[in-house]
Order: sequence, then structure tokens, then C-alpha cells
Amino acid sequence: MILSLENISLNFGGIKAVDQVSLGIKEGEIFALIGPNGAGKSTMFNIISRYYTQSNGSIIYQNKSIDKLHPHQLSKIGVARTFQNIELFPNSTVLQNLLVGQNSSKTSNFLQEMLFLPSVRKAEIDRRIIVEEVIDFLNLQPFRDKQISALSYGTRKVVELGRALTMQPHLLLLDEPASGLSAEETTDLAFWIEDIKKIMGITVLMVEHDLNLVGKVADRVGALVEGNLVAIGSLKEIQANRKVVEAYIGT
Amino acid sequence: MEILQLIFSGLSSGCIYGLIALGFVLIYKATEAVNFAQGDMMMIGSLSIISLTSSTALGLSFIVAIPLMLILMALIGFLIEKIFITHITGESQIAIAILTIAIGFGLRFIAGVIWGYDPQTLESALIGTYYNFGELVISISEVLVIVTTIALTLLLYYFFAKTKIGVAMVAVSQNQLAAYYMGIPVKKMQSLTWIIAGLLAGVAGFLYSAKSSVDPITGLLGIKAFAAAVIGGFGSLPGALVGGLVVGLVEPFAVRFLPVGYSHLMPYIILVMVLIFRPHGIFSQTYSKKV
Ligand SMILES: Nc1ncnc2c1ncn2[C@@H]1O[C@H](COP(=O)(O)OP(=O)(O)OP(=O)(O)O)[C@@H](O)[C@H]1O
Ligand SMILES: [Mg+2]
Repeated sequence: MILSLENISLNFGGIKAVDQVSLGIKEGEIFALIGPNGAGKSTMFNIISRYYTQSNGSIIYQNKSIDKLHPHQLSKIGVARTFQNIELFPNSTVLQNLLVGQNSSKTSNFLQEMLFLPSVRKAEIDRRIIVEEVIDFLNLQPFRDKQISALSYGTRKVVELGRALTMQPHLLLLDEPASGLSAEETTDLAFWIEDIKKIMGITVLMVEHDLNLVGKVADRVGALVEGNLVAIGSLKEIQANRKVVEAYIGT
Repeated sequence: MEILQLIFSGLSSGCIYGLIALGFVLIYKATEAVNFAQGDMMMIGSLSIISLTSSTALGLSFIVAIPLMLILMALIGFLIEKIFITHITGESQIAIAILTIAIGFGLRFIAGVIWGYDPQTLESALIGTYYNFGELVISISEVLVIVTTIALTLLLYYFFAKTKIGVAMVAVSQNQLAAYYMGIPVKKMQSLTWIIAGLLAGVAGFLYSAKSSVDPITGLLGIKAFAAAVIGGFGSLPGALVGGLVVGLVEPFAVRFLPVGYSHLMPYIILVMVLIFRPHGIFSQTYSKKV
């Protein structure tokens, strides 16, 4: 297991957004989390990525508890994420967005940077190589110098995926990567997610409403209903599960 | 020739407004709060450098006094953020604005207690040194102001465009949530922003004291710099500087050509016109966050 959630709960006021969820994600798999609106999927992502702290339970990543980490320390241990509502740096170009990441290079201090020492230059070159690979992988070449605010929604989603990849994560969290994409863009996305797993060897945990995409890429699927993880299995098993069916019909 | 003279004096005071406006914009971009104490921070810088170098006080040479004053200003910026601002991030903009206005009052009060309310002047051979080019009279202190401002602007440009820390600060200013997951220590960057704002206030304070006498209410010229920042778009560093130059240039012309009393209104008249015709400032970069 690369990631284990042990009995995680979080309430917002009276709402049990996540209710005693336990879940293990295996190294190298693609795990998709599905569930109706408001089921607590994004909240689970925000807990795993340390944006929220759970009121109960513990998160183990690569055999260590990450309950005390700050959000900015996640990239150092190899966790990257995207957001349901696209969180890019809107006044910067695609290239600048991809270059922002700070995990790979060693930390340099203010003076070293102002003087642009060789160590700083070397780190920057390494960073550029990674970024160029991601640009090629996602076909972002035509957009590299475009400002984010000038891009279509679909392209922004791809840029956000690319930015997460430049962090060279072991675990990638994707919150609704296909929402708002055209059918064609979703097809590309399916291939990319498979390659991310097969070629880059990255474990993927994704939230997705598009069951077609889930069926194509996911090794295992979990269904969250009102904060409870009601079923885990293949997509077929999940779709046959009575509790899951009721939850979807109920909404 | 008279026009040139007016332009020259306008440019040099415009640089000071521009430096304070840079401080406004910097803090605004990093924390989405307006620091109304920026002008008062500048006043502290001015009075400090005057005391550090004055023969009746510490009498230090400028080579020692300027770094000392800058360290003090960096510390003041750092402490304001640590003591006051971190505790109310997430509060409404109004709450933060009121807090910084209160900090401004506090700084004025402290300055009054330490230095009294009489105007103070910098002791330096620079002041009162003039060169004549035909009819044009150029004072060394004005040249100093303009040259330093240009150098500092280039340095800031390099810092934000090319260094990793600068790029990280820009990222924080655009999207804190995303910045976290790029491995950027957002809180540290915010504290660094206040340190830089303190340093900017220090430089502006030194330059101001090289031009004019200073007392505890000198910092109120921050209001004109605020107008400059708005004219420049309040989100753009070059805009802040240009806004400062606009306000600075208009002033001497208004004094010369308008009836007495109206000249002080000019920055605000321009401000209102900019808000009407280019509501996002001269250098607006408009974008809206998609949800
Ligand atoms: N910051 C918050 N404050 C208060 N309530 C919240 C907050 N975030 C989420 N909630 C509530 O928690 C519940 C779970 O929300 P969450 O966003 O995790 O759902 P989701 O499964 O991601 O839904 P969707 O498919 O619509 O994205 C909802 O009832 C939501 O209103
Ligand atoms: Mg969600």
C-alpha cells in the first residue's frame, strides 16, 4: 500500500462530510472514487493533501504518518494534485505555470539566487528538462507562451495535469479530471492517465463522474455515499451494488 | 527650460510616490490586503536615517547607517506581519485595512514620542549641492532619487522574473492554494513580502529625507502614493511606478499653473478620472477566476 486511510472522519458543522473511511491504495494502481454530488469526495482529497485536518483517524503514506505535514511539504514526499475547479496561476503563461514547481531542485538561498551561482543554474536546467518532457507528453507545445486566462477550459485542465506531473510525484490525486472536457479531450485524457501509470509508474487516485472514463482506466473503484465508503471493487461490481444504485437514484 | 525644471522635480517626487506605491502593490498581491501604514513606515525610515547620521545624535557615516536603517525597516515589516497580520488573514479586507490604518497611527505616535513633532533634516553634503546647466538647476539629491529608483526597479524586476524565490512569491500572489502544492512555503513567502515592503519603505524614506524635511506626519503622503497605485492598476509593479510618476509629474505643473490650493487636489482628480475611464488602472490585467 502506498497510501492508507485509517478511519478518517471530518464534519462541517452538522454535516458528516467524511465518516469513518478506511481505504488502501496499492502502489502502481489507478483507483477511482465515485459518488453523487456532495458525497465527500473532494473533502477526502483535501484531507489526504493536508488542506483539511481530519477530526479522527490517520493517514499513512509510504509507511509513515503524514498527519503533521503542512500542505507545502507534500510535494517533497511525492504527492501532487489537481483541483476540481482548476487552480492555476492565471496571469502567468503555461510555461511559467509549469516552471513554478519546487520539489526537484535543492533549496538555494536568496544570495545564491541573486548571484545566479552554478548550482542554481544547474537546478534550473534540470527543471527545464522535466518541464519540456511534460509539454511534449501532453501536446502543450502550441500553448507554451500563452497566458492561462487566454486558454480554453479543456486546455487549462491539461495544463493543471501537466503542472502536477512536473512535480514528478509517486502519487497523483486528480479531482474530476474529465469534467468540462469534450468527448475528444476525454479520449486523450484516458490515454494520458494510462501512460502516467504504465510509463511513468505513478499511482493515481482520481475522483470522476464520467463512468465511461472510469471503466477505461481504473483498476479498482470505490463508491462514496454521504461520507461513507459503501463499496470497493471493479466498476461492474460497484454498478451492481444495491447501496450504490440507491444512492444514485435517490439523488 | 522652466518646463524641463518642472519635469525634473516632478520625476524625483514621483519616484518616491512610486516606491511607496510598489510597497502597496507588493503587499496587496501577496496577501490581498492593502497596507495603509506603508507611508508611515517610510516616515520611520526617514527619521531613523536622520538620527543615525546626525552629528547631534549617533553621527554614523552613511555606509554604516543605511544598512542599519534597512535592517530596522526589514524588522519592522517582519514584525507587523508576525504580530498583527497573520492573525487576521482570512478576515475581510475592511478588517485588515482598519488594522493597517491603526498601525499607521501607532507608528506616528511612536515617532512623535521618539523624535517630537518638529521637522528634521538630513545632515549631508549632498543636500544643497546644485549644478547649473544653463537655466536648468539640478540638485544632486534629486539625481540620487531618480537613479536609485531606476536601479531598485530593475533589481525588483530581476528578482520577480528570474529568481526562484521571486517566482514563488508571484505564484503565491496569484493563487495560494495552488502554490502550496507546488511546494512553496506560502507563509514564509508572505513574511518575506512584508520584509521587502519594509525595505522599500526604508529606501523611499532615505530618498525622501535627502529631498525634504521630515516629521511624524510626513507618512500621510502615502495617500498620494495610494492614488498612484490605483492609477497604475493596483496589481502591477511597473504600473505602481508609472502611477507614481504621473502623480509626481502633475503636481509641480499644477502648483505652477493652477490657482493656489487646487494643486493638492490634482492626484485625486486624476485618480477619479482613471477610475471612470480605466477602472482597472492604466496597466490593467483583467482576469476572472473561473469556478
Ligand atoms: N469548506 C466547507 N465548509 C462547509 N461544508 C463543506 C465544505 N466543503 C465541503 N462541505 C460540505 O461537505 C459535503 C461534501 O462535499 P464535497 O465537496 O467533498 O463533495 P463531493 O463529493 O466532492 O461533491 P461534487 O461531486 O459535487 O464535487 C457537502 O455537503 C459540502 O457542502
Ligand atoms: Mg468534489
